[in-house]
Amino acid sequence: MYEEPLTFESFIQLRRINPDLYHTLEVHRWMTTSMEQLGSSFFASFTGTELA
Amino acid sequence: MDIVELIQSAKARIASNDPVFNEQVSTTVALLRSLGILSHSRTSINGHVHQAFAGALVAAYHNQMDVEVYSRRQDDLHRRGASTRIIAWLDDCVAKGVLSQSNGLKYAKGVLLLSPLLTHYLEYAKVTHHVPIVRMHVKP
Repeated sequence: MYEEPLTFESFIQLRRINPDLYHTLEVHRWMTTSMEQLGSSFFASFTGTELA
Repeated sequence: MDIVELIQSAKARIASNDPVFNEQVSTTVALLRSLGILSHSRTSINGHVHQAFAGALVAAYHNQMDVEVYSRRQDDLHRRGASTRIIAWLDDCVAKGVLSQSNGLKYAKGVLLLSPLLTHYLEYAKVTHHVPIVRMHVKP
């Protein structure tokens, strides 16, 4: 269902737009998977250097 | 400020329903969960502990303070009413770059500084967004 990785900002937007969907376990797993797949580009708006 | 005192301060701030503070706490919890520092399972049981921990980082940011860890003993934390998981979370925060060490250690001890990644998203959370809120399970 959730195959396309999204950025951190997208998940924060989702929390504002649809909090009930955001607070599901599936979305949190999707967020973790997106972070693993995208790496540093997951944090799209962050341009600093000290990134995990 | 000491991490346990920051957590106590954060609990009071969360209870006061400050919208900006709560938004920053939620964003920090999301950040820590995406990095795998906080667990995303059983949040109905542990969610308030995660909120208090993230709140401590936000409180440090608001007060322009560093996070200080003087004791890594579980016994000391338990006696002071803090979760014994916070040392593991702080170690993970240092490993993943959410907090940085001023003394070069690879684990959480002494003075910990808030990283640019964390401060960037704390600034981001302050921005007001006008978006419609859709509640899924609430009937109009």
